[in-house]
Amino acid sequence: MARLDERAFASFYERTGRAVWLYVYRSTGHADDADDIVQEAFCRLVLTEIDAADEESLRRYVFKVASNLMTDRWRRANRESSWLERLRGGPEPQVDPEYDDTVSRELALLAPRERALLWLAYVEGDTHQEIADALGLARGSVKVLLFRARAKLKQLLSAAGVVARAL
Amino acid sequence: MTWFNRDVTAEHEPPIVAYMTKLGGSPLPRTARMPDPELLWVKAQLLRRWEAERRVLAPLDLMEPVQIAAGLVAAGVLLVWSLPSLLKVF
Repeated sequence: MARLDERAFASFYERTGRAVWLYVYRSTGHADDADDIVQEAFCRLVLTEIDAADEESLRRYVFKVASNLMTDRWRRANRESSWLERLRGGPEPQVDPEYDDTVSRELALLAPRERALLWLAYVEGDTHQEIADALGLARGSVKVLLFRARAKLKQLLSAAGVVARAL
Repeated sequence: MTWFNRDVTAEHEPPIVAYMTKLGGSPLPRTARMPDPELLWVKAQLLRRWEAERRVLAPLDLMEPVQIAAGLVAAGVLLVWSLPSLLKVF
């Protein structure tokens, strides 16, 4: 098993770092979270015992770690926001103001997990099994959740006139 | 992407694909701070070293309370053992 050396790591990071950053950013809606999670995910890649020759395994590992770290943050944020909601009597904003731009407005309206699902399916081109592995879900659940996310996005795009313009 | 076409009508697929592709190709925002790979590599090596140190020091940390307890027991035994002599002196 080939171990990851500094040069191979740098080369892999140059090829994959941007994609992981965008995945985390579009899923969480926070640039700070994306910075931290990408750093953490790539550091863990260096520390893990993995075949450096298998680029696809490396890519899947990084996306999986990034997804796990996002899930941890969502759980923590949910706990904290539920307390804040109780204290303040209203929900907290979940997304950076810059994130909700004209390009990504519709995606920002979806739940974080729906954004992650859609991103992995459409941008990364992952299969249901790969998405299930990355997000720690059952394959059957991915199909259902993806279908719902897709239907929701379709509705949002229709409401915004994106579907009508594209057809 | 035909494996998606289960319940939603096919004519809605291209706009979703186009929309997601556009997002996927969008540039990183100004706020993005992606570190250099060299920096990440050094950070990972430091983490590896700290983890190795922690593993080496773990038995010592575990033994510390045992040492304190043994010391206290020894002091107690010494006190009991030397108590008759001390009582004779005072």
